[in-house]
Amino acid sequence: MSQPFRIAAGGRIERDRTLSFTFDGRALTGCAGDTLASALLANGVHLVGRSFKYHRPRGIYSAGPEEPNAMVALGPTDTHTPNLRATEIELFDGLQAHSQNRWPSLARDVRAVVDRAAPLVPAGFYYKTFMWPADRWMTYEKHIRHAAGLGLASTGVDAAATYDRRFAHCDVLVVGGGAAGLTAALTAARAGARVIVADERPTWGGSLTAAPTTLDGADSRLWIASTLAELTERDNVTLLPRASVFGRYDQDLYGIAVRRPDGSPNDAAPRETLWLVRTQRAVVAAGAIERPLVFANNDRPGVMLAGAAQAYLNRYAVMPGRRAVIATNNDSAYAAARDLQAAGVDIAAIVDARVEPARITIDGVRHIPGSAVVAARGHSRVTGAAVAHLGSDGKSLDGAVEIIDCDLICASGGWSPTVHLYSHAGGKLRYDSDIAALVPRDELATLSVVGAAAGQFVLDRCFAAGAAAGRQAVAACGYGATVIDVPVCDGQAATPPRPLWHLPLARGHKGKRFVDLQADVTVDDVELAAREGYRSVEHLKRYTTLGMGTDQGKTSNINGLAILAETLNDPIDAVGTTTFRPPYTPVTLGTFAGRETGKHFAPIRRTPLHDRHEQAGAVFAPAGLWLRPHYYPRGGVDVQTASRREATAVRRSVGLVDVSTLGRIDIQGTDAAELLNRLYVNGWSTLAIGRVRYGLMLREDGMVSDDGTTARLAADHYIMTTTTANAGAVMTHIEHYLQLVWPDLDVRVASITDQWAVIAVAGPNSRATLQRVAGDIDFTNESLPFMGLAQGTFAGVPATVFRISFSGELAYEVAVPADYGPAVWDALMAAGESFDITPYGTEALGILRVEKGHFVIGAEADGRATADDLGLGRMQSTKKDFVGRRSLGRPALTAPNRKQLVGLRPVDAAAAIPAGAQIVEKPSLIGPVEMIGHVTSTAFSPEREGFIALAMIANGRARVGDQVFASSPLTDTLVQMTITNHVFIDPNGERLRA
Amino acid sequence: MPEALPREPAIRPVQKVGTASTAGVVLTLRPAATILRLCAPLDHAPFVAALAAAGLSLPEDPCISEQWGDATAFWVAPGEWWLVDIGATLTETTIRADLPARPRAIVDLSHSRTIMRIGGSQAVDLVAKGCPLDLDPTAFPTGGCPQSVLAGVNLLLHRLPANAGFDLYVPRSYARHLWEWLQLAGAEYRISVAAG
Repeated sequence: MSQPFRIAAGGRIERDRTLSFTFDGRALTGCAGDTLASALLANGVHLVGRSFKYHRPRGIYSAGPEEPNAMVALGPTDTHTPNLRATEIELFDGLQAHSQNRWPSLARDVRAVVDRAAPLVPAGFYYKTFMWPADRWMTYEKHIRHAAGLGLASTGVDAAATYDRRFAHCDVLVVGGGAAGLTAALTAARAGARVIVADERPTWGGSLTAAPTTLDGADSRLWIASTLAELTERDNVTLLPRASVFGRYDQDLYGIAVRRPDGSPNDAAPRETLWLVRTQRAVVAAGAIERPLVFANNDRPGVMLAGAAQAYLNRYAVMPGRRAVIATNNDSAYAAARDLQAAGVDIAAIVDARVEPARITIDGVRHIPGSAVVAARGHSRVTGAAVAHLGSDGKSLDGAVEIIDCDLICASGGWSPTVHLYSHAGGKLRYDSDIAALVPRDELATLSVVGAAAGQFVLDRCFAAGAAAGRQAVAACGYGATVIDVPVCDGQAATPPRPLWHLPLARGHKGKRFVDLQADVTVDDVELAAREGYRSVEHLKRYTTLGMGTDQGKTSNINGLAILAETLNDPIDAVGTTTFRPPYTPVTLGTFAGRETGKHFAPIRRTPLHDRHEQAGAVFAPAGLWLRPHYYPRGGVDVQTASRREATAVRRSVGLVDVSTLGRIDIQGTDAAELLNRLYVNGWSTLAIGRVRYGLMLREDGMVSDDGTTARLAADHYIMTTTTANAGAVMTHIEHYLQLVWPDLDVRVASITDQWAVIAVAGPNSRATLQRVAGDIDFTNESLPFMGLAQGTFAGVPATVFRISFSGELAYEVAVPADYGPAVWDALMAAGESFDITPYGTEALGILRVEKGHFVIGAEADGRATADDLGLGRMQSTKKDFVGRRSLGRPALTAPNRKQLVGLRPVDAAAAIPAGAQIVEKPSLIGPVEMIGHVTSTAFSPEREGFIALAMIANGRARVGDQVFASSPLTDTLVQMTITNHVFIDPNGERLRA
Repeated sequence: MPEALPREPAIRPVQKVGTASTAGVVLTLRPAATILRLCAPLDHAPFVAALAAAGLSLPEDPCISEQWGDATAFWVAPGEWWLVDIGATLTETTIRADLPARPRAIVDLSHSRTIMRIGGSQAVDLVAKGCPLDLDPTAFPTGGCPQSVLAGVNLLLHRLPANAGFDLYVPRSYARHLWEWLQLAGAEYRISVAAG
């Protein structure tokens, strides 16, 4: 094992399992159980990235999710995942990682010149510097964005990566598997509650694993192991390691991103799974995050949080340096110093801002009280610490500056409780001056915060609080009380910290003092913002970008707002803090997308005849969620050629089209006709059994919402047809009215869209075709007239045939139970063979309906058209009420000059009509010019041998014969048009009744 | 009678590996069933008596089914049930003709649903990937038949006795999509697909 900084014993790694990995192409080894960060440190690699704005060399700063610096791209270059925290990446054999934001290499980064030009680029420099000339901003922005930044999104698709989703429910969700969390979980589990415990680390124990701890007189490992054994054994407990609880949402829904351990033997397992957990109660035991000390050049590789140094030692048996200076304002760094010294690190000095002694003493180490590290020496690695005595106000220095040689500065500025989920739930924070940190202010109804996350830093109280929270949570869920023995452990309180938000600069030891390492925000930036009037912490954040990095300022928020408070001479409580919002840690987009990518983006609906269309070579097009045949390119022709052939076949002989996608609603009950009367503008009381009628539906505001035919099968039994797109909406509309507005009606509705396969057979030879199919239905005009229906046996199966037409030709719709659809299709194809029966798709359907002048919902009836606008004003009954009727009297709906449905033909018969064109009276493509209407649908009409269009034109019906222009600036075309009637073929409907 | 007619179901499963011992999920396409949606006056005593005489009682609690031989009655909405595979005992014709109170509505939905069975030790894990319901037996007991969503598809789930998994009543047009989804999402559990 050639890892020079690996200690011979200890840690929780598997020493005998060596793993190979590369960092920037350099081959290295680590151990199973390492993170990428600990493996890099074991190899003595501290320089791992360049900073966001100044391109300064950066090292590994923490050992957890708060990491501001050590962000890497993981995986091969073209499919990598950027901006992952090296402190959270579990090492696996073959791992490839790359540093970010540097060119040409990490060691020589040309953009590092920005650092020397820093006075020219203070916070908000781009608002001031690049304002003139205004039109150049786009150019400036491009360069600024290129120079600043983190990792780049990958360009390739990692086909092997799958992401998944999982819904889960529980009584108690415990966030954090440390002392308080595991105790809460065990308490709840013993009561019988359904418990989920999530922790972002692969191993359990939280801060207990970062320091040697004695519980019940033994190593804390024993307690962790026995607690986990019991939790694992219980059926009512789900343990989720590697699980980041990133957000709390309404009604106690929690989002958890659960990572797969890479190199998992089960290859089909998803890389990451989004757990959506709905819980009755949550116990948040998320711990605390250590704060940096803000001294000059506090970002140099080799400056590290003291707790992180301790964690690398105790968890991973890694020595983060050979000779350390400990800089602190509280007791916790002493424990780190003690462990580092025991592992063989030379502790050069403990520099404590406080004068009063800490509760921990360490023999044989130089102790410098009342002082602080005011600057780090060195460039790409720390070479020394500048130490000076602090004045009593903490803002000045007295005495000389001493340089102490070292390669590691362990800094601790106190601890900030991890209150993010509490904030997501709407909880407010208060400043606790005893621990110099923000803590939860109030009790929330369904979420409790315990342990270090609540500002409780004494271990025995964490256990007690965990047990109490567990009991309280299960009691709220209706479970009985349980007894749990919490371990006996250290109950000693620490010496209070000395708040130290930033350190003064010492003469001769100037340098940037970083408040936010990831966003490169310094003390000077915060003070500048305050001077320039950004007195609100929210403004400070936006002006300086403090806390706006991917780490959301986990290490910087408190220092930043305290410096602002100091500058403004306000108390910290008065300045407040920005609101924490989800996600707690960044979640890759793949996790949210899950399996809903590519062709699985949305469900696909297929008709019972789908395979027949495929066999006929159909090109499909989506219609809502449905796939419908767009056209059938016999011999590989294009859509125009195919659709014109199909439309001509319908006009001259016979075609068939799959209309199974239309919505169909079964309506039964003594009040069925009354329901139809109220839904449709026209009347239904006179519709005879065995007859079909066209109906038009309005929204409450009087605009046309849907149309279709409804057939009366029996006295109290109707079948309604809706458009394909609105099938669901119409069903919802009807159910809404039946349940809330007209509950007194004796009528029941049911969607039967999926029950039927429906084939429309259209064209002059349609009757002859149907008559050739075996069955007992009489298709003669006398027996089955236009708008009639017949039921019987057709092609050997029970069928209902409606004589209705959308194409304008003699036509029938044959409806059969869905599974029989393919057989009926085959029978029709065989019967029509001598007529060259032609399947047609939605493109030909569109041609036929434009020729016939039928409007469609979504094009002509686009939500702004009334029945009268569409030429159907007289359909509206005056003898009954219906949905939308009372809106019809509104002035705007009866105003003159409303747009009305008309037809258009180009004056030059060969000219094409641009779809979506505006109708203008002046032949001008350049505005402003009055737009009197717009083209809604266009088609090449084989019947009229030229282009035709439908349009909505102001007062259009009175303008038939006028010449206007279709103007399409987008395609740079202007076509002279004649306004016509909207019906282009068979205006008297003779073909329908043939 | 339906056997004689040329039925073509929404999906034709391709049998896939999976010895019973290693497969965590067993996916089976169920044979076509008779499904009648019945809106009935349960407050009408003679009607209920006639149902009982036919061997069927309708569950009155929401989202619960009752089994009678091969037949099942699902509660689907207030005053609405699905009668599944009532077979020769009670047909649409007999319901209409024989019952003393006229049912408010009967709709044949037999062709509108494709029935898929998800069994195996990890059936619950697979369903939980796409269905937001609480699948714990305390919340969703055996015989439960709630309507929910699975992978974007509205459907009815029926929990089978003896930990046999779930029957999914899938709208026919979504069947192929869901069938593919189940196989993809279930791959990590070693899925076995049994032919019809």
